[in-house]
Amino acid sequence: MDAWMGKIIRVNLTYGEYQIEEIDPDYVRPYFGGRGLGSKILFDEMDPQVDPFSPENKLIFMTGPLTGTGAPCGARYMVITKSPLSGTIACSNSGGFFGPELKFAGYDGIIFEGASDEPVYLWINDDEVEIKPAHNLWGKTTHETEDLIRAQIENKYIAKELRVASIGPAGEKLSRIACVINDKNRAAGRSGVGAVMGSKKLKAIAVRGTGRIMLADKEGFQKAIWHSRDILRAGSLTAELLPTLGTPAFVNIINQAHLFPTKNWQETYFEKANDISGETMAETTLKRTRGCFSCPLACGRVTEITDPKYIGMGSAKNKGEGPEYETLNLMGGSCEVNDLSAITKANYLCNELGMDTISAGSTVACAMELYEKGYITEEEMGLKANFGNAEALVLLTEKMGKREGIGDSLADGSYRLAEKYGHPELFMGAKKLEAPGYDPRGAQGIGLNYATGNRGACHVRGFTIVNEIAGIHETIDPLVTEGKAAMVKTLQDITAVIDSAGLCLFIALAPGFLYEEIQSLVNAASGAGYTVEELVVIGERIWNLERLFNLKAGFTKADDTLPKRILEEPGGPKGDVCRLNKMLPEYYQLRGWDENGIPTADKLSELGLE
Amino acid sequence: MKIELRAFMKFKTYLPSDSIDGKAMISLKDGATVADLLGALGIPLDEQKLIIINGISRGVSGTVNAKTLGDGDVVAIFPPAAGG
Repeated sequence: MDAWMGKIIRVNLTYGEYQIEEIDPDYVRPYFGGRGLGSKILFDEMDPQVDPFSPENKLIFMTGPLTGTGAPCGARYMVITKSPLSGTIACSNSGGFFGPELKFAGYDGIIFEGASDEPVYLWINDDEVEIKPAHNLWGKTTHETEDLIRAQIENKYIAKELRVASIGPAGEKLSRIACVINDKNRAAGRSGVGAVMGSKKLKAIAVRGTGRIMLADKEGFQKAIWHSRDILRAGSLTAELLPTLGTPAFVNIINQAHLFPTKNWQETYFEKANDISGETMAETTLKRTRGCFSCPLACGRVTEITDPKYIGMGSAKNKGEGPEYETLNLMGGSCEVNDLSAITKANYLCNELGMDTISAGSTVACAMELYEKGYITEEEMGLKANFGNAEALVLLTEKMGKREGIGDSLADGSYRLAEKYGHPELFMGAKKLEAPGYDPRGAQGIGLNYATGNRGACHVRGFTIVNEIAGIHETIDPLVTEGKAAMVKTLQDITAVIDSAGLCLFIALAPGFLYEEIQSLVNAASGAGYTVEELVVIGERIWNLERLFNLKAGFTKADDTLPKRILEEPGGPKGDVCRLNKMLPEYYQLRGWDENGIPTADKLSELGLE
Repeated sequence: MKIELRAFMKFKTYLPSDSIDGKAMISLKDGATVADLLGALGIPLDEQKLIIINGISRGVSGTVNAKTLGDGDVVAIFPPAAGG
């Protein structure tokens, strides 16, 4: 096969065995790769009702056909499993260099089954695959883990070239918001996928590959790459804002649009947002930028803190990468913290201990509201935790990652925290997944996307903000509900295709990057001859497959909802609520689902499902 | 009438000298449009920008120049998050 490697490693951790499987091109074609292929395998091989922490849950790492080929923004791999946080299907996406290296080694993906009794890590060096003991790695941070693995390899050349994906103490301790970290500072962040890895006592995957990805039409592929790069160069966000300021460029924009969740979503505008903006970061903590494999955007932020107050606080180092926009909101505005050094330190803690910054920040914000309202006492908390308390942000993040003290109650996310203390209505998200930093009371469409998201409240599954605020592909009034159902469905479907291809979503932040561009890249690389119509259907098929998984796992229409605060308490620039009930019925209709949000037999048949 | 201008990123250079923290009050004639505001600041009319008026994003379309402003409006101006 071209573009795809054609092979998957299937590892049984219970028996300590593995086998190499060839993938059937006919099986892959309708699901493309990455998110689509991984979700299809999970759906076919596993009962959606399994306990996410049981050995029956499968953990799949999957790249896409464009991963590692040199396509711009083509560095992504995904971690697919059943989420212990939301109970939905999980597909967590990450960049860096790990995904491409796995393909260079000769594999499209890895399926982990069962669970090991003892800590292990998987070592892949081209054809050489070995399950190695990881006793000396267990308990270590993600950074220490990568350093130790390199130090253990005798051949210094190989040691330098290998790439590592691992969990930190948070994943080992089954924190439901634990993530997988690769290349030290990239994260397959959401849905607690790191905890599933921890439940299997799988500490890390280290891979080194010297092979090549075969390309069907090298000349055509080169042309398609140049065309895509032209599109990226012509977009202000992709050519200027992301390279110079990174995602933190969004802070002031989202805040001025009154979409910036503040004080656990009690407000939507943060007076002090500029203190934690991309502009401020560029003048203070930013050292240089960093890009993923084959990416011209280089939106990564290499940073360092010098504030003596935080240098000695918490166990993380005082340099690393980030924070990103989401972190600046969920640990900044949502916690009412305007101290960039504090947020940066908490971010470093998340990277080293292995936690999702969105869920961690949102959980601290929730804890702060519970504390201010007296539902958690200072004695229980172990410290003062008012909104705006930057120290509390850092200390609570550390406790969370290590399950220490009150951290044990925070480590499973804000839904379980709020419920434990009698106030589940203070959880801000959907399907138990904490929502990212865009308030639906200022942009109706993102609310529909959060409520219908197959992994819960997520922005990257249907990033309506690109149109509602930034006007990238179309200009649409953020405050109306008309037209939002159609826009959300369209974005959700094309995003599924972008994810499955192994491309970073940011490639679609340039005007003019559409299905045709994905088609050109994939067809030249693979020779598969996809039509645009086929790609459109693939996106819809993947979305419906994920929906079916969730329905079988026990989700219903009642779960397609948002917190009371967002549906009933005014926010946004005009004191609106999110009028989800005006958008949801039309969305179900456009999707070809019945009034209970269940795909009709006709729709399933049309998509070749069931 | 007066509007509150908030200029961000490269647009900070167009702020009047009495601006504080990127904000300034700008006097305009009644019924002035966004184009009039740009003219008052010396920003070229065809300069690509993202305009948010009273918290509502007007996107990056050129038609925003014709939008009428009202007394007390808050106008935030950013480089475009789209387009060239």
